[in-house]
Amino acid sequence: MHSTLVRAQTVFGFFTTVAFCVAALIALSDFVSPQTPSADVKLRNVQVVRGRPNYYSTKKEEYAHIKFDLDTALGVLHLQNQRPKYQITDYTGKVANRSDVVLELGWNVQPWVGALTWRGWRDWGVWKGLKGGMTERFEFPGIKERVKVRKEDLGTAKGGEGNRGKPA
Amino acid sequence: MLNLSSLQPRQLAAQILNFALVLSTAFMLWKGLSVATDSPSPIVVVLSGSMEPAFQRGDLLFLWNRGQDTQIGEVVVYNVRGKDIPIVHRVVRRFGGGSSPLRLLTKGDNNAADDTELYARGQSFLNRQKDVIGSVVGYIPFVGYVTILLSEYPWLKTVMLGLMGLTVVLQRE
Repeated sequence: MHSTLVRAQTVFGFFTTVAFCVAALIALSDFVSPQTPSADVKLRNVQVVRGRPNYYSTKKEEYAHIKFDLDTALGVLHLQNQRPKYQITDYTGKVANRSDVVLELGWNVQPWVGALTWRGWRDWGVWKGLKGGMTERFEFPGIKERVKVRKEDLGTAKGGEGNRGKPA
Repeated sequence: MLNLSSLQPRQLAAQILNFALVLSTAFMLWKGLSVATDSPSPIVVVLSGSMEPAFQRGDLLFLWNRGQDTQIGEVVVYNVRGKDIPIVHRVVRRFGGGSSPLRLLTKGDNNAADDTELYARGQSFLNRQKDVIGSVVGYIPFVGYVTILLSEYPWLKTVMLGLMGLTVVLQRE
């Protein structure tokens, strides 16, 4: 039978087959393109201050402000979303005078389609492990005494309140 | 040709059986995938833009829930206790593990703050074993958008079911 419906079905079926084959090829191409990432992370300056996780919170935590130099050669990878606003603390909320701190570079490769991959230290197929990308061990200093800390230094994002708590 | 009364009862029964076969196969595949990945919901659709630019609304994600030593930087899907909405966010902090349960703090890439406000009352960290239903390992863009359409315009469900039923019943070999 060659009714319109059957033709439409055939065309749509062919379209999805081709689309999925192309997507599969794209996904597989990831694993045959060589990666030779290398990076250099150098610590410049650390401070520890007291602050709150957000404007409405009553919880006091200690945050580390870390300044560092990052030099990367990631090859074919494009960088996105390297926003530096993450709060550096832990579940105890106390990070002053903490020892054995290491800065480590990590990333997540977001594919056009296919498998998500993360930074690797070891060679895997045509992908080389990351060279460098880690600092020496260092120590957090004591709490910096309050000398008029400006609001943006506390990491309380102003105007970001409306963008909080959206699911998924 | 499109006349129900012209169908033989045997033919009609065969069509219904065929339909049942399609449904049960899909169900079996879904449950099989669930067992293989150890996740109650191995494929999820991204419902909001909180993980942009990595994931957009309607993207299809494949989860894996074996080997529960989740690292920082992984993207996990979790259910908030008492609510049934799966949330896809990135792990930004972890502690515990080993003898004590592994705890995670998550944050949407596109959100200003971490998820502490999103969790159940009094909860400030996720329990890896109890709350998380899987870690994202695969990604297909946009394909899941149809489910968002279906949930936002419920009448589309009726239309689609009706159309599916009609084509199956009226289709002849």
